[in-house]
Amino acid sequence: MERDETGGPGRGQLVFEAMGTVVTLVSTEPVLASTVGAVVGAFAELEERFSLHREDSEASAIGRDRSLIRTASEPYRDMYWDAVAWLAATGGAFTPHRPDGVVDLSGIVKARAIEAAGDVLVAAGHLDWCLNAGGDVLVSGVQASGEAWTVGIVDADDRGRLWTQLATRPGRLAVATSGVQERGEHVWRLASASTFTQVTVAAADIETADVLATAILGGGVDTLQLVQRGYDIDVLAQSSDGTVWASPVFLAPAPTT
Amino acid sequence: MSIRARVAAVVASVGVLGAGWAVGTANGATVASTTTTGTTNTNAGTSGASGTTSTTSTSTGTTITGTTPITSGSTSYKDGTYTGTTVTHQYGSVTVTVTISGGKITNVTANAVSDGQHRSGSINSQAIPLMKSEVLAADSAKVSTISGATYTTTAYITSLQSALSKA
Repeated sequence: MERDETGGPGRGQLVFEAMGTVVTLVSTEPVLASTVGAVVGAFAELEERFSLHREDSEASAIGRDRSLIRTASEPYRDMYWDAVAWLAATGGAFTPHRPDGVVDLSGIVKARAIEAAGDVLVAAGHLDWCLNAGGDVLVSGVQASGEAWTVGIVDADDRGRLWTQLATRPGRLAVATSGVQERGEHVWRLASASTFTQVTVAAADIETADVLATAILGGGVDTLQLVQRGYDIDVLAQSSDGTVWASPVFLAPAPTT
Repeated sequence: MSIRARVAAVVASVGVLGAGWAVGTANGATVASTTTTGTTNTNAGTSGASGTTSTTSTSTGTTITGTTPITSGSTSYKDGTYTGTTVTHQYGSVTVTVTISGGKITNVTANAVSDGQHRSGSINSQAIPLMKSEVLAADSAKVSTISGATYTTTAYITSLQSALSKA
């Protein structure tokens, strides 16, 4: 599955599949094979335990019989309680429970994998890299040119078009986007008033960005305003009617007349 | 200050207010001349000891009032987009833009810019409602990676590649 393209002039690039999506790593320096293995492993380890697509995973077992959650492994319980804490923090807009009652932690599992992969890179001495797992982005440092890693954001109305962008900076090293077309059922429509079709959140860490993007997508403007009081984030939320909610960082410069 | 001078000063203020409205309906040259008239008037009112000066200021004030849109019919704005003065505040600045179409205000937008120095960042990053077109356009030459909602591996790659090539 792995397509290692490491070894370009002054930079390393790695592309592999994990958690049903594509992971891309760009580093300003070539990455050793052992480090590449650990990055891939960070995703594989969490996928093995938490995937609902694998019959033999702990998550699938608990999905079939929820009472097993009381005897779940330490990592599983950690993840579950983390998800429940997010449920409380978002007023119920983020939830670890699928509409059919199955516990689905995929909303934070991918973020945790990205975080773990980032830790692997930092531990190996890599300070300038950009990691993208299916549209959720975590960066460290800057590009080889010295410029900030810049994240383009896709237009929900035309997913083949780039809409806007965000230059990463300290406190905004993670960018996650949730959309109504997203696979999986962990996005709940709390408020009928929520017309958001795509929500992007930039935060200091990928779990916060990912969870809050999902929560705002489901909970609409009320959730947007709730979480902005508690978290230091930039938000870009797009509605089907053409209106958006955007933090000042996404605003076009004032037209000169 | 005499009552007459006070009246002149108030009229002058109205004149300046009128000039404020005129900013939205006229070009820079007109605004400059109107403002000058208002300033002259205020000076005349302040130094208004002699009857001659007071008379002059009153007549000037009347002239200004006569040219304001408030009295000459406020529905007839000239079509176009007008950007107001940028107002700075504690955390940055706000610039208001007004769009006139068919003689009426059809859109008012506020462009808020943070100063980038505010420590908590929790106030100047508050999202506000906008039209989609007011959002910064992407510059594909500067984009290093792409964020978008994922649904399948192949759809994601296709979407990503076409986005990069079209932007």
